[in-house]
Amino acid sequence: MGTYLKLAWRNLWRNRKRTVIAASSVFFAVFLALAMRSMQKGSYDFMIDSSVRISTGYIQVHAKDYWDKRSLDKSMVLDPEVISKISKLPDVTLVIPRFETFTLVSHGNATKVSPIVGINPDKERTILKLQEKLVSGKYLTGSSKGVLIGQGLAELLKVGVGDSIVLYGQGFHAITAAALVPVQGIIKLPIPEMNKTMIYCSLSYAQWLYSAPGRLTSLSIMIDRPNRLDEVRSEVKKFFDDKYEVMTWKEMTPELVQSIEVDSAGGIIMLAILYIVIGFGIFGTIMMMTTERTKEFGILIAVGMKKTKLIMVTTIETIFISLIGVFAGIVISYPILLYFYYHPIKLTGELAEAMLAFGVEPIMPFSIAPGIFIAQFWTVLLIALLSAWYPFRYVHKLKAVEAIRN
Amino acid sequence: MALIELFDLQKTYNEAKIPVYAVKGVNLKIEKGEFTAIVGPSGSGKTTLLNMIGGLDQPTEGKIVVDGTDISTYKPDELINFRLHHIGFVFQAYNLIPVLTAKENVEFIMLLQNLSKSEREERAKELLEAVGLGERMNSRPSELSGGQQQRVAVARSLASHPSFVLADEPTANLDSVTAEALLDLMEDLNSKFEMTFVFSTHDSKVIKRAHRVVTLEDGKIKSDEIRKVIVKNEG
Amino acid sequence: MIFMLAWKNVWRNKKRSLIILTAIALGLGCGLFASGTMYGMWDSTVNAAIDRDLSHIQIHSENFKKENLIGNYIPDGLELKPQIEKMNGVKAVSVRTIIEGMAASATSSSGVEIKGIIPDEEQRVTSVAANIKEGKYFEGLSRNPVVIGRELAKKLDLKLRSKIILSFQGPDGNIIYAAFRIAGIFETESSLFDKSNVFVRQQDLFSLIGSKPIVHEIAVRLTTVQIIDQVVNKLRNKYKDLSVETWQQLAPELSISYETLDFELNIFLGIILFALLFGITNTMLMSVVERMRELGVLMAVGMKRIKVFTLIIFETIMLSITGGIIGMILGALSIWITAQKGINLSLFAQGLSSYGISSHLFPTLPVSYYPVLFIMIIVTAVVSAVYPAIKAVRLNPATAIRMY
Repeated sequence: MGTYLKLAWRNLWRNRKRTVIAASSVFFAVFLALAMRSMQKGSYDFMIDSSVRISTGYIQVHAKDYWDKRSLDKSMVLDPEVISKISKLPDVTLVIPRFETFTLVSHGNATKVSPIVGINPDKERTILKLQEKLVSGKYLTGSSKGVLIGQGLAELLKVGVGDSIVLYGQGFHAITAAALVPVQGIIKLPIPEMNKTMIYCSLSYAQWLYSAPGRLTSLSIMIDRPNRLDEVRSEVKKFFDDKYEVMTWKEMTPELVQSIEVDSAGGIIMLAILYIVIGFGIFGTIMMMTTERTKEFGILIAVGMKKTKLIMVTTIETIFISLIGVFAGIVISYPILLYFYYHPIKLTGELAEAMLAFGVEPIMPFSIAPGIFIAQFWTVLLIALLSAWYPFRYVHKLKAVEAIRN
Repeated sequence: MALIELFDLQKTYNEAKIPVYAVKGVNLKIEKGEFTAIVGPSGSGKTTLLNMIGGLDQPTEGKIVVDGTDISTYKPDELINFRLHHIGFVFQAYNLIPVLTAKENVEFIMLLQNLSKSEREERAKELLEAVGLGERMNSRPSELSGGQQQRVAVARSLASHPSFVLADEPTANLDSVTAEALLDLMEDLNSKFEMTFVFSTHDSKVIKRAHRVVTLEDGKIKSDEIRKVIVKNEG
Repeated sequence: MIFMLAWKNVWRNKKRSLIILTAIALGLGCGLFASGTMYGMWDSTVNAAIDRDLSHIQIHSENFKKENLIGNYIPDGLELKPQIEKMNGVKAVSVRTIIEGMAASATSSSGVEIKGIIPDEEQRVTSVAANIKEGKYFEGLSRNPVVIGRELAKKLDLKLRSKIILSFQGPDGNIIYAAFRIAGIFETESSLFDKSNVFVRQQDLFSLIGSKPIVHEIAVRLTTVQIIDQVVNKLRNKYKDLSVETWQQLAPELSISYETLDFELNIFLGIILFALLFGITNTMLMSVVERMRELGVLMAVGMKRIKVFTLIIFETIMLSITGGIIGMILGALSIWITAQKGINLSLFAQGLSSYGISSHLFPTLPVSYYPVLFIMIIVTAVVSAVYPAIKAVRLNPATAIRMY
């Protein structure tokens, strides 16, 4: 075996140009496949991250059936000690209590239906980041008795900071919840629908207004390593009995999971098409490399080299070439993808403006998850090795006399 | 004025910074209508000299005047154009375009000269008939024997109305009977159309047929033997 | 003849040419089909949105667009209807009274848009009636019937014939409560639509708010979407004080998703062409290397460098175009065949319906795609040919003839 390896290795360097051409076709295959998959994967991660941040968090705890019914009757009381224990679990970065419901909001002749969310102002500084979105007025404190409203809603109701608005809705156990509340601040939210409707207040105020002291509708849990989702969930679950539900974002937003699956299916089809194209490219290169060497093979056989040995050597050569190409592909792609991971491509033009108007950051994100490198490594290597079938057959069928004469 | 005039022709190649003299001062005049062989052992500078006469290579020193034009200072593109209109080539390995038929191979040169289709077809036919291949006009090179291919090559070399035909070892790949036939053809064309042929060769049989034999040795002319004086056909 | 020579040269090494040809044909064919499928998905999404509630054109008062309040109705809205119905190309018109409010059951409540319609007329403009999955479209109940979506029914725990309380602010600022009974439950491709819309009879709304008939929205359906610009222009000239919008303007998120799709597919096609570019360069490079001597002879006998260069470019273009045309035929054919019956994606239906995407799609590709792609193939071919062609013209004819 050692001799074959040595022979194959020397053959590679004897004709460097040929080796470079063949290895570079493998290299390009890896590079393009990686770039494509990295973009696809990057956009899913981006979708998940923004969705989780804005709405659900990675994991949520509610009273049983709250998620389906969204009724305040399905709100819950949590032991502060449990909350603090959850926040100390490994991988958990933050636990966020919220109290959410709907209300009619009116001022003068204008009335709207709005979601109202009671929040812990300090914790939400890193999650909702409303303090950064403040256009006028003051951010909430834990004991605030005012509300923050979206800029669009403020315009609709024709209110400014300091004006009072009427909130009217249904509280815990269907108790009427009505109040005249001062607008403490106006925030500009990127998603137009939210900007026109959202109302935020302090958790304690919401609990008071809806006659639900100490109650929460949800406890969101943020984690730092998304791939530990299921482990964290089972840890959290240990604190609760079956009167509660502990859901991951995948259960809460199945449509997001499935739209990613649909998108990913499309992406895999596109990747398959790319593989077809590069597969033919690699095969063509290997084929030419082989037929070019007809005379050389003929001479080797004529001077007494067994065909099996020759086949062995050419196959090892193909493996070497593939490995060189694949490693070069990964080594060169990695820093490029890493750069784009930290500096996503910014989109410009009409599309970018339209996306911005909808609160979607107009960027093309990349992923550097190790999985995509491993997958591309094996797939392209497999394609290259399948191409080794050609020299195998070729040498097998070769007639030495004819080969030399050519 | 002679058709081809070489003045003090020199060619040096710089190999590893040591100049290698391939041609060391050749003076030669070839008249219109000559049938000249250039002979000499390999390394004598024969090929280099032939390449320079054919405008494929340029001298380091000296002058080449063909048909009254000094081509030694031409740029590569000017040389290509000059070759197209003044020189016909016949190569040792025939070198026809494999995907074109005999007729198309002959026509191709005229196409490069931008001749009209009817003109090209007529002349290609004439020439192929002249070389005895009137019946094989639509054959591909691979369907022709070596001798036939070389005849097509001769027809091709004449297609552009060249001032002279340069043939590099034209018979080297042919057996002796075919080689004689090709020489008959070339001699025939030489006497009929006053076409000048300059060829290189190793073959003593071919050398015997030449009207003039220029022998090179070590980059210089060793001997220049005129065997048959051309009778100028004035008017 | 140079064309013929190029064409013949392409077929000198049949195996090699066929391999790259297959790569081009399959790459483009599959690429086109995949693009066609995605455009088809977008198309059926748009059609579903138009059928569901957008219709082709909508008219509102300028203020309604900004504030969406009950007072922002179209002045004399009901009188506009016969005028618009008489216009050329208009198939049907529905006038809607739209009020934002809350829908509540005994257990829960949710924000909704209450749409007051004339059932017979709405039926001719949108497909709510056709999407009724349970009960009947405003039939079987005499007092305050309502038609709601499946999602809302689930959320509020409501069944057919259940009572539902709608509350909203009347024109005078007072909150009005009214009990309705569910006559029908509809289900469309869009779960968001099903969650947030309730349909009631216009006359019931008018008697509740105790006002003269008011309309906020006039939805216009055309005989064909092609004439939309003409009709919109006519409407804009006629009703200068009102906002007249096409479905594209009404649902900018649809055009965003279209532009995003367009962008992604262009990147995809770009990557495919880039991969092909490398394969073509490789093939041509080998072809040139193999013919060094022949190309040297061509230059020796007087073929200008620029012509040799052109020859290689032509060969590459011919090779690529042959593959390209086969690929385009493959793509067009597969799109045409699958478009006959459509493709059913119901496996992914839940994910799709959150986007309002119909799970039954008909692949389609704009005809303008093909000439653009054709030009792109030629550009790719030329770019791929440059290096091999340069290599060819750099030859020294004298050495090429001897050495190769």
